[in-house]
Amino acid sequence: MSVLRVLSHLGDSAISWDAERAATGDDEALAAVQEAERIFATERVRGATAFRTAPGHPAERIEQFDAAAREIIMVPRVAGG
Amino acid sequence: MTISASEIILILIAIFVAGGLFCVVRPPERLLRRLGVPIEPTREDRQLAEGRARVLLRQLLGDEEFERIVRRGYLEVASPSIPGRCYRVPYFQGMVDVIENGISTMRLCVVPTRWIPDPDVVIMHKLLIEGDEARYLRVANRFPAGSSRLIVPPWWEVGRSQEPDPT
Repeated sequence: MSVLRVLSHLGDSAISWDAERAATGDDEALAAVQEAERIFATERVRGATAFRTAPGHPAERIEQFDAAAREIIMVPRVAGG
Repeated sequence: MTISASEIILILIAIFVAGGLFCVVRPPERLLRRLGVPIEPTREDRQLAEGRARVLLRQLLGDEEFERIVRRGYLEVASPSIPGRCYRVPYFQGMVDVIENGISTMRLCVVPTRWIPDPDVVIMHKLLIEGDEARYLRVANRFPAGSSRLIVPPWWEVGRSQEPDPT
């Protein structure tokens, strides 16, 4: 299962999808991917930055939604304090 | 007793005005969100969010690293581009110390523009440093640091490790 997490005042909100089932054209999985993609785009417009993470590997910044990623974490816009 | 048309109109106007006043004094959360007005989370919201954020941080770091950050009070993130440099991200609010070969060289302040729980702030720093260090440094406000060597005294780790496990 893949997951998109958005850090927010709620802690984090997450949406998950099955990338393998989506690749085979499963409707339910495709709908979940589309929803995750929509959230990704909305948060990007708000200024969030997205990172692909994997255990044992440093985070990698991504500009486009990656349906094959195991985990994507979006952090809100930052500023110098 | 009969109510005239003008009285009905007056009652409707009164209801409309009362509704408007209620929205101004205590606006519904949904309306504020729709208008893009930032909403301050309640204390309960914050506590729940903190709990969720701690779970995510633990999951991201692993049990061992998570216990270490709780004990030490900071997370060390190695610079992906500058050898010998690491960033000490505080577990609770504060500035990030830049350590180069054991010496604190400066302090950085980077904050989210919206409130997020402290453990999520740690995640935010870690991801930004690992995934986009150049931008992180561009955004950060820099403050001078003392040039003293930052060596954790031996009693710190020992004293903290004797405390009962909070989990």
